[in-house]
Amino acid sequence: MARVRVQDLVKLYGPLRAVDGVSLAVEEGEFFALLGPSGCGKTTTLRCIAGLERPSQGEIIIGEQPVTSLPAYERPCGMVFQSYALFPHLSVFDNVAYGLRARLYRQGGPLTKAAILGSFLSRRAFPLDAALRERVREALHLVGLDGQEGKAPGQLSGGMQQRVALARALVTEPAVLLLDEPLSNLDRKLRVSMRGTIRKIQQALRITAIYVTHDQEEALSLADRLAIMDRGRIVQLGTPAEIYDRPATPFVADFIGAENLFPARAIRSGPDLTLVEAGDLTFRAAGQPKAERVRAVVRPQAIRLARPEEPLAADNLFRGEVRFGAYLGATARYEVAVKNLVFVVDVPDPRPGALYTPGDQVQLGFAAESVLLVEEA
Amino acid sequence: MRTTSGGRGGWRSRLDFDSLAYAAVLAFLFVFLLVPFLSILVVSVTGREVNLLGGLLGLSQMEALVRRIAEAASPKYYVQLLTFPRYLRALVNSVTLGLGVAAACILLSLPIAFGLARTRMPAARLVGALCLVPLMIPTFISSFAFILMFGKTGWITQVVKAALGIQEFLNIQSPLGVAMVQTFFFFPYALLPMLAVFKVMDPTLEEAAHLLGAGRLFTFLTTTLPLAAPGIGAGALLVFVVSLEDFGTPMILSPRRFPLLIVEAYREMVGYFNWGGAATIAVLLVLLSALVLLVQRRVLGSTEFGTITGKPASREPIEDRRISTGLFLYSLVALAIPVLAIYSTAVQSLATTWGAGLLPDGFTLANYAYVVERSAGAVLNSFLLGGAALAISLALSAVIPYLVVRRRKVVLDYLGFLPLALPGVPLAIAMILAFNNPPLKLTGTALLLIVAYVIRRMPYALRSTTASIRAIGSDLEEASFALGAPKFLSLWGVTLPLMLPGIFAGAIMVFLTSIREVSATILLAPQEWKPMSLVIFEGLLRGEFYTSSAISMILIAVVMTLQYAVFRLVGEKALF
Repeated sequence: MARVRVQDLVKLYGPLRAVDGVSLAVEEGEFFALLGPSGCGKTTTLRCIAGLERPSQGEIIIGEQPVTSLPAYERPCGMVFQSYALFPHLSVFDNVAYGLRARLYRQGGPLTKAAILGSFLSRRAFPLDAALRERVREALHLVGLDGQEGKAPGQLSGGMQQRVALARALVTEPAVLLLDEPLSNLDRKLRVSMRGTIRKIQQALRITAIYVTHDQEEALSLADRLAIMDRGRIVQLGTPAEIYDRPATPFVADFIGAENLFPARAIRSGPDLTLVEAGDLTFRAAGQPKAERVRAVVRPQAIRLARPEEPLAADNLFRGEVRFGAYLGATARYEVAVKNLVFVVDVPDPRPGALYTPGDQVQLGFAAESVLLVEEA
Repeated sequence: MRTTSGGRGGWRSRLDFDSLAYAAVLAFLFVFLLVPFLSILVVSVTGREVNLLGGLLGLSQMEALVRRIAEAASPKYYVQLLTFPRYLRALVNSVTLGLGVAAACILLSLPIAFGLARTRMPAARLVGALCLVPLMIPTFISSFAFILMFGKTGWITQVVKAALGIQEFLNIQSPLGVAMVQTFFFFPYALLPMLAVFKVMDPTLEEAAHLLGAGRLFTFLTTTLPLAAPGIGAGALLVFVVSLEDFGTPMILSPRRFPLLIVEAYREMVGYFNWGGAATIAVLLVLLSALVLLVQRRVLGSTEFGTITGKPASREPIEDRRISTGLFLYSLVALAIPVLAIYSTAVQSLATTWGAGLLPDGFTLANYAYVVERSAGAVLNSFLLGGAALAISLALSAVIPYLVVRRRKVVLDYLGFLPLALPGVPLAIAMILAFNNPPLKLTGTALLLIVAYVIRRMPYALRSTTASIRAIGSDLEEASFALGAPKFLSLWGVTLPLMLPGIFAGAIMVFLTSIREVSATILLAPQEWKPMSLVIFEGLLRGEFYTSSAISMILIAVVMTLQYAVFRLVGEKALF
């Protein structure tokens, strides 16, 4: 449990600026996510914190200690790798015990060192002490893997391998837990349940966690705060709600999942209402933009649809034609063309009898408050 | 109508190109691989000549053959093998030597492999290229070069004497000398599999160890080394077999009091005409090689550890200058020995006389002039014999992998790799035993020598082609079918052109090993067909050191040039 501070971090690969001046501070016990598309520098940032990459410039401080020049094995970090990186030649028990044995080896005298090395060859000749065994068992219990000690990693399912990796990273009680896309190799259902497991363990241990992902849903649901990265830089940093409600740039809005993102022009603006022109449409938006050129964002679930004969009241009301429809169970997703714009619309809890089909004429309405105006960067 | 045309189609397809090729290849392998194999087995229990092929000519011949075998069959040669002290010592010596050389090769090449694979070693390409040099030099030449360097009057011995005052610091004509030559010239066999495992090893495993607090040494001992164990083991086993088969080194360096199986087999055959004894030792050698190679395959097969998924992270080489420079210097010292061996041979070939001294008394081209005058024929023979072997291999390695991979003729796969367990001397003994009588009386002809070259190197030629044909993928050929091209046209127009680099590389490798070969050659080559390898070998045994060195340099030059061509064709993988 410690603060992690990253100051002006730069990592160059030849001419490529993989990380280009990243600064952030993660508070004690905080769950922090680094979110961005592949190649944005989020994994490189994490690997610099772990000590697996040597930063070209910048400083990394964990707790009160500058660690920039320390090798990975002297940093108080535990890490879960995307590939899990379980040692295939060691059992589940030995995988989890590895970090404890490595510490004993580092701290011990020549005899301890020899005994630890010997224990990799023959457990019978060089037994491990009971306290160590107990800690391994506790760690496996924490992730719900009691009784799996003797198995080889290859015998376990992906989800169980993931838990072993987590137990292995936690057993040494690191100050910081680093997770590099840990769930990307699991199927969707397992991903969601592992998400809960990771969050619960993090809160129970009150450990500082930094989590790298390209999945915005994962980041928004797990993190206390997150940073969105693009081309080596942080473009926005804040709580999930702040980022979702007030994306700072069109890139963030797009990445966070704004389907309807239209280039627009503010043509008239009052104290709390702005008239916006997007394509051939003109509609009302809440708030006052600082610039004339903006992007207008309307979330799919904020738009309502109705048949032409049905009543529908909204600040912005248009007529359009359904181009495409997909029934997704909990929602139905449509693409509706209004003049030269196409809106993506999510209808919650659709009744199978009342679905629209392509070619249907519909009314489309949304409130002025649901229109977000994002200034061009 | 339908059944008739269907029937005709079936009949026609049975006589197509694939089936004809399959039949031809099977016949070739039956006559030149299985029959010799069986011949040594039979002779090892009968102790006298049996004409297996003759027995196939008719019922009466078959009957005579069976009677002859039944009359003479006895286990006495095997009993002899276990009771005759010289044989027993040879067995123990061969195994001990093999184990020792394997261990030494691992120790020698582990730091080089790690340095090349995992650090920013300076001049890594040069070091990598130098690592291949030892494989190109035939061991009878390197053994002789060791005498030039470390013998009583060798120049390194002189340097050591002058510098340290030690009279004779090393007796090179000893078991230790044999082990030294084999270590310095066979270590690449251990190095290349190690290099491979160090390169493919999942780098995140070591990163994970670091994050768990493991320092460099601890990580190396508990993670890197165990993960590399299959590669190390496979390399060690391969070195063991190569040492077991090596004929040149012990013939040049091994004293009489240190018998080795391969030399004893040769002596029984040539010195005592003891067919039963020679065949029995040959069988023993084959069994030993086969056993070790089987274990080696198992070990290599276990490299694919676990089910670790996810994208492989790119590996950052170890930046530490001290480590990479240290490993670089170590590699240079290890690689200096083979390079100095070539240097010594070159100096010798240009010397008027070279007694005890750092340099010869004078330089001359007379040795080369003598070689051109007297041994041009041997050089020509080498090219003709090797060329013929190359041509046959070209055909075999185009057809066999195709039939194995595309037509699933698995039998050919097993047969094709059988010769791996056939060292040169046992192979030659088997050939002599099988073809000493009509209908195929080939003993004493160049043809038998050529066939022996082809068979000996066939597994290597096949491996290089099989790999390339597997990489092509059957969908290309199927696309050709779908475009209306019949089988042979598809093979000719699509598969064969894509296989060509692999086939050529394999065939050139057959040529290269043929012109370096001496163990089968010494038993099989007719007087008028002596190739340069045999001329060098006999010259060295007779003490014609200067001219032998000159031919050696010609041989080395040819080998290096062609080896370079192979690398250009297919890269490093051509070596095995």
